[in-house]
Amino acid sequence: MSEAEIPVLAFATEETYLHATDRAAEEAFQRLIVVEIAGERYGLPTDAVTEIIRIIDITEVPRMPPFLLGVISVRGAIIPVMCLRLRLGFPAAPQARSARIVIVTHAGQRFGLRVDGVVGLQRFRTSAVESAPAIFGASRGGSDRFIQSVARESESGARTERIVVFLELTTLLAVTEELVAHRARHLEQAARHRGEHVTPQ
Amino acid sequence: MSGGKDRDDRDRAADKAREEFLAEAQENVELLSRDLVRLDEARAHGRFDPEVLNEAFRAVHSLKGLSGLFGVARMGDLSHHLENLLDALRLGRASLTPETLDLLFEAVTAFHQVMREQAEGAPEGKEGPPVGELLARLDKASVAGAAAATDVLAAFALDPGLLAVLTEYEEHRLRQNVQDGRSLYRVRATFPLETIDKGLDEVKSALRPLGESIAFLPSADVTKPDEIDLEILFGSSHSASEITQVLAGRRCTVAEIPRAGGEVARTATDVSPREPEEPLEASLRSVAQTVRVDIRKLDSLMNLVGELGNVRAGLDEVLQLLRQQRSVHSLAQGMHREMRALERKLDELQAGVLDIRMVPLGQVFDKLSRVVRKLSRDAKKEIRLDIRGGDTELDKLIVEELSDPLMHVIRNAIDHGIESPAARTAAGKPEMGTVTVRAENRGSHVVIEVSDDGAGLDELRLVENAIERGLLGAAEAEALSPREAHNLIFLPGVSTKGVPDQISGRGVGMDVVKTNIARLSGIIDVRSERGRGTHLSIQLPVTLAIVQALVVRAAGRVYCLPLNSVLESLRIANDEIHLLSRREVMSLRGQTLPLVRIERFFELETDRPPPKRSFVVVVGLAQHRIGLVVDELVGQEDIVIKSLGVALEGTPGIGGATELGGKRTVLVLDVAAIVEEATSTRSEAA
Repeated sequence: MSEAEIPVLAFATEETYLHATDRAAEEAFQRLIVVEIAGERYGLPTDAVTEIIRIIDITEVPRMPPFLLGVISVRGAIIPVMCLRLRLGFPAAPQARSARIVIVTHAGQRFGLRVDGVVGLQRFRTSAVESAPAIFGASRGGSDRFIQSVARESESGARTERIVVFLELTTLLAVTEELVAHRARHLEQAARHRGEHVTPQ
Repeated sequence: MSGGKDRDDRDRAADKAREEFLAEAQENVELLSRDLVRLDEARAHGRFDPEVLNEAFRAVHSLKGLSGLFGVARMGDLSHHLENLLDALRLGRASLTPETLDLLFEAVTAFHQVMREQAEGAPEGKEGPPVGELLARLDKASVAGAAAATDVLAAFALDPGLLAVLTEYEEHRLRQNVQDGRSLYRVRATFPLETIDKGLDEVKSALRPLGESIAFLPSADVTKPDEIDLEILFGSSHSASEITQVLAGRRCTVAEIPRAGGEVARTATDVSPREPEEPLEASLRSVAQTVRVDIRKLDSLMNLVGELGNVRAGLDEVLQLLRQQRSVHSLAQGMHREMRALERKLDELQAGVLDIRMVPLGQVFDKLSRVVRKLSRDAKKEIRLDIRGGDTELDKLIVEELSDPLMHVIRNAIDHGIESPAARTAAGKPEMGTVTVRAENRGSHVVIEVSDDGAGLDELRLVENAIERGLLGAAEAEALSPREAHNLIFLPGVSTKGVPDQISGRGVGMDVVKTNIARLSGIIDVRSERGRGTHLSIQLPVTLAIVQALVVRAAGRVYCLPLNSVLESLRIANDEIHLLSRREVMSLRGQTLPLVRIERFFELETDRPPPKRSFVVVVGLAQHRIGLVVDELVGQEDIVIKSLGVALEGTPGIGGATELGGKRTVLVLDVAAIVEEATSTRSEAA
């Protein structure tokens, strides 16, 4: 059992009692790092984000699907970088000046996510978070598996209400299958190029 | 909550303790194994060193203590019974026959088994293969074959009081010395009390070459209060005068114990003291000045050193900027000096960290002796293993990975190489075959050569075999040089053997050896002469942690090539590149070298036309050679290869990445994979 599963039992004082309602409200917020991709807004879980850096030279790694841009090295560690635009099924676009690499750590994997821009840290009332409507992303070839839920931007200052899509890191970072499929396709093409017949495995 | 944390801490502590236990047990088992090999070797020459047996006994004794401490019952039982047997051997109650040695080696194997299970975390009590049967045999050997004790001592005029004070072990050694026909001496030595330890050690080591110090007895008559007299019962086949000679300058007297009815020789000289009874309980202070370190800790140190190198490169850039500013010229000068010092120290630091990872190859070679012993017996061949250069050092990780391939190579030499004693006699060779293993350091490489004086490789058989398996075309076969034919042995499934026999039937081919060596960035090569023997040479880098790399540019991108796989690089003009069945090749000293263009291999997009002249980097792994065509050779760098991370690891052709100066991330090519892929598609296309 991890520590997180052990409930914290605190003695109630008059103060905590009085503020209980406030605190409940306080805790009913989710915090996310909101980024921009192709004019849309996406949220990444705050505790997974370790760092946000400016764009640096990305070293291309051959034989990768297009959404895997290559590797960068950050303080001695080699980190693979993916383009969230391509990953989410948007067409490629020239890199914006506001582009950043958001470094996330999830389930023991480190990844850099290239985004068009970083909006900032935002909180969302848990009650305002809904599961994603089925139509979401269906148009973009199955990229809805990356979507966990959606919420409306609730902070003041936003004149028009915008939808923020919460991304699911587990599926987003699971690239092994796609890599394997890509390599197999690549080998097949290479073989065909040599005029051989290859029986698909 | 704190309960959970405590538990975690406890688990961690337990893990650490277990690791230390295993490491220490391993050391003792290795020591035991080494001693057994030494005993076996000595026995083959009709010699026997009781000290080696004692050391083996002490190693097992420590193992017993360790397993008790950590509650590993199976190891405890094994040590206990083994200790009994070794004790019986020390005391002469059992004799050291080849069968007993086999049994002892079996026990070593059993220890390894138990340790492996412990390392994998098999719960104790869940029995692996039963050791009970082995224990029973150990016990049986302990009581069997006690040497008949006809009283040989009667032949000497020994003081009856003397025998009464000797321990059982001492008495046994006394008898043994007499049986071996040695003379007995009493060496009387006088030591000042305060320097007795040192003095006694000196006398002991002076005497050692001449014979055996059987017992140390305090002398009965005390002369001076600040001095002590000791009597050493000494067995030797040298004369009293020779013994006196090595003790010259010490306060010692040497007297021969007369044989009953015989004469006595007496001599006298100067001094030395008595020995503290050697305690069997291992001292709490460890003898060796060493610490055990988890290799992962060294890896992270190595990474740090690498990063420091990057920081240095960054500082260097700042320095260059400073130098352009006239106003801070003297500041820049000062910084330059400091930078030079930093650079030197960094180099030393790197060398130091690397040095920690180095272990002598002797660790693997000891294992080989055990295997040769067993295999030659199984194969009914007489084989001598000649090992040189066991002190040659290599990275711990490489040494670990080396034992299997070396084992297979030796196995092959014994099975396929060395002929039967009858065949050898017929060929006019000595009955006993020799397998030589020789290691040598050559700068950043270590070369291990394994030779046998056996029948040599049958190249016709190899070629036939390769053609049968469709690995070689008939026309290609014609063109093979004998050496190329010998190297066919490294192709999967190719063998010189018609019928697999007991030993080779284990399905381990030389192709596996090649692959394993290639994985260590090694190169393996074979030479052979019919009737004279086979000679394998394995070239390995000293370490994999820091790699010298050739930095190249191709299709506008920069790559690193580990230098240990680079054979040479040359400049060529485009018209030197020819097409051979749709593939680019060039001719290099009369040989056809297949060429691989990096941009084509990786299907990189490039807008620049290929330059008129290019560079070819000839790379080889195992027995394959190809030429990589690149646009430019940038230079050489020491690099730390880092993984691409869980997701991208295993990208074919890419071995990792590294950071070069100026914060550039550069891919390191996996030459083995490129050669493999290039040559396999070549044979597919053929």
